[in-house]
Amino acid sequence: MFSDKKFQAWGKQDVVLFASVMTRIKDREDDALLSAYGFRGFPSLALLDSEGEMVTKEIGRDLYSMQTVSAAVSVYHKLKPKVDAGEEVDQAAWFMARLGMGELKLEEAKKEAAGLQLNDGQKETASKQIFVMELDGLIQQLRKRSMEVDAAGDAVYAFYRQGKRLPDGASLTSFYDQMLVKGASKAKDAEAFFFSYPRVKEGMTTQLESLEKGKLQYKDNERAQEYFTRNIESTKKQIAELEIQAKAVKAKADKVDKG
Amino acid sequence: MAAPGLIAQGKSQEELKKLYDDKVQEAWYSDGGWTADFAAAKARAKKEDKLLFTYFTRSYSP
Repeated sequence: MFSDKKFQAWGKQDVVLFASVMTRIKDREDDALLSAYGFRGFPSLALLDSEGEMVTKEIGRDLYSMQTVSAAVSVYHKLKPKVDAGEEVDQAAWFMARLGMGELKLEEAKKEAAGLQLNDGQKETASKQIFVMELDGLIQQLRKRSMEVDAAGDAVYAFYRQGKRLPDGASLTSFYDQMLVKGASKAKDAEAFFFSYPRVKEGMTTQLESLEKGKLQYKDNERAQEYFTRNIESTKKQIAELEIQAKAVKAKADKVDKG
Repeated sequence: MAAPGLIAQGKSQEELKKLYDDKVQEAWYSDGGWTADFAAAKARAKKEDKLLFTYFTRSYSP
């Protein structure tokens, strides 16, 4: 993540990158920081202000979350005391700050966004963040088994057709792609299918390579061999299914073109 | 796998210093514009009106 060029560009421009390295070197003061901020393990992330005060520990591990939270934080901390004191504040800015800090639930966010006069930039940012929340909601429903995978595929396909795309660097990209491939395959929509297909295939191929590498590396461990063999087979099956879907969607699209 | 604390206990101060030096020469750190000095990081954040994006990591063990 930190070697990524986009992360490095953002880090140099928008924040000060501080690596709090625990060294176990005797009398090194900075070694005490991890526990001083209430962390127990590595790696951990936090945003601190220039006095070293904790601003938030709630930072996603993807660039988009990091950017969103840090952009919202300073506005949030500027406006919060005023709101608490009952003073008038710019409602659109206050909404954007709370949205970026992850303080709003999906329905609240949608309702507030609809009732406010947001400028074009705020509208675009808000709609992307709300979309991320919608996808997150689908994941939660899948986890709770209150939604079938097929239905999630249909929902993501509908989002795609509404023009909803994830911002660059969002961690949900692979979920979006996998669900879109399912939904678009069912709808026989080649354009939507092939939007995500290359990334899904690349992800599966990378996974297969790493499983095959693991199998070689742990060749003397019987349990590891079972694990790797089982997962290699299932990944190969997934790749084969993806290829069958790709052929079917393509055949349908060719037929429409000719017809 | 041994606990990190136990691994560190077996190392001399010289070894720990060497591990720290190695850590801050890794590409993510040296190419990324990071600092490991808290006081310097805070001073820069104040001057540039920025927040500290803080990554807690360790050098005494992998």
